[in-house]
Amino acid sequence: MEDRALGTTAERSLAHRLRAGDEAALGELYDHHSGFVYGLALRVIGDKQAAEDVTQEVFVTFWEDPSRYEPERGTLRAFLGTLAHRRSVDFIRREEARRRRETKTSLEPRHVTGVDENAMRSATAELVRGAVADLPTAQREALELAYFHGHTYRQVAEMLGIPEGTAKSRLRLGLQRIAEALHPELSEQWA
Amino acid sequence: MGLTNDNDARASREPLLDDLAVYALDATDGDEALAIEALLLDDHDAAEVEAVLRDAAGEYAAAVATDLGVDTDADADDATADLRARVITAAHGRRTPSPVEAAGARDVHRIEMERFEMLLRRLSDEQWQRPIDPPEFAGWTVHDLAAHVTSNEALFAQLLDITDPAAPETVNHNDDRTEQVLARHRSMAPADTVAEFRTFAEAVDARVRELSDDDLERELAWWGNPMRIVTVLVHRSFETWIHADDIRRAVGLPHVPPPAPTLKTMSSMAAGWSALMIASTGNDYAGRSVRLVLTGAGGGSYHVPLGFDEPDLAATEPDAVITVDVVDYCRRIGDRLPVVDLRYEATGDTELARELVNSLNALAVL
Repeated sequence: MEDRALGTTAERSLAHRLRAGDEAALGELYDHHSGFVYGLALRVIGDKQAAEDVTQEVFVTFWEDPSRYEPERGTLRAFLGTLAHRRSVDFIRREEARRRRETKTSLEPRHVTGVDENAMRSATAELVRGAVADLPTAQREALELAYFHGHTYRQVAEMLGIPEGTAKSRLRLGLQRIAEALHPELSEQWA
Repeated sequence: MGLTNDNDARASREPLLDDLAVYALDATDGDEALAIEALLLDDHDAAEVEAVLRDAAGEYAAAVATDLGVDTDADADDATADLRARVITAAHGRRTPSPVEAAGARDVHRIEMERFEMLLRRLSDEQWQRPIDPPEFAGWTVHDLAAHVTSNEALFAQLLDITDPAAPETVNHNDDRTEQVLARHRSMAPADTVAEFRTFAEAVDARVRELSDDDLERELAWWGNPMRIVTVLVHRSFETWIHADDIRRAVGLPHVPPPAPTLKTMSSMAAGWSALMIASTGNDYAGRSVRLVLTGAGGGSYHVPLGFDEPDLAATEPDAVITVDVVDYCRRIGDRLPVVDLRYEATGDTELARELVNSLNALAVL
């Protein structure tokens, strides 16, 4: 029953209210998406305080200029995820540059319990999940290592024991398939 | 990107696509990232492709996060308790929120009907059959509650003399009408219930926008009680919000309060009913008054009488000052927040404040 546009009607309405300076909309935005933003940051960084800092920066930055979110391009959740991921990876790269550390130790996935099996799925999310499910395991694995663990493609290659070029290709092909699921016209353009 | 189906062209652009993809995934190291950023500044086509890939990466994360153990209840609880407050405070430091103007009754009604419809449209077939928890609706499902809200909107349309669409049920006795409505909607698909709701909500909206502000002051018999149309608009909106949150609880969604302008209208009207609410105690409150300080977006400060006399409030001090969050205040009025769970502060006659707080839900339980 949902509007096929990538950004839902409710998200467009919320974005409009945020542009208008509606404080309650900021609270709603936080309440609906902080779990995802914080969880993603924590998953990538592995440090609670840093994840909170990223979370704060994501929401504050977005509140400062909500017009940067374009509902036609994608869902609000994805947009916030993009902001969170970029800042999380920036943190990791700064830490990696600051000191040497074992790749595996501070980037182990957190143990979490209680996966929310009742999480609402938008039509967009269902499309993406379908595309991800159809990916070859090698591509899915590479994407997860790169995105959810904050590894560079070089680190992904080392962890999987594959050439760096292969790692890049797997990441590109996996991401390309997801993009094509969202924008079918790209399949022909990228063929 | 010079996109063609030529094999040579495809082979030549794959390395660039690889670079753009790993950049979009934030999976490059510092030097490579700088090089790609420089490229994107000059190459508009490449920048477009990167943007599409980055959007796809965001949708990937959003879609699979919970499958990978991200965005769980554990995550929501793990952040320190004051993170939300810190975020809001920091945000205000970057951009000041706009002052909240109360929304007009017509807009309040339209907004809440639209929000309710949006909620219904996102439900799965299984969720429509979930039980709801308010004791007064024991045995009801989400579908039943949606039917009830639809029927009330149909009644409103009927009382506004709208004949097209025509309300299928016309009896004005609450229990009888409810019985007929539930029986009919239980044999309908959810989509049809939503469609019927939308039909009546739009009809009411169109009619009240034809009416002048003076017309909205006209009374109609809402379940036998004389009530101005403007009041029914806000009352229906409040009821619809409360039931929307009943449905959200049933399907595991968080409560979503109305926008601040709507809250301001609803709460200010409710504050004016304080005398009605506290009258349920059976005590005499002539000459008594309180100041309600409703905090949060959409809140306000209201000095209200507690008796049915007409004291000169400008010349008197309130007997008590009650400070409470505006959303909690409204939910208490809607009998969705037990008094033991309501956090408020009271100064002055705290016993009087307690009596009012205890009786806030009096109109909901009638």
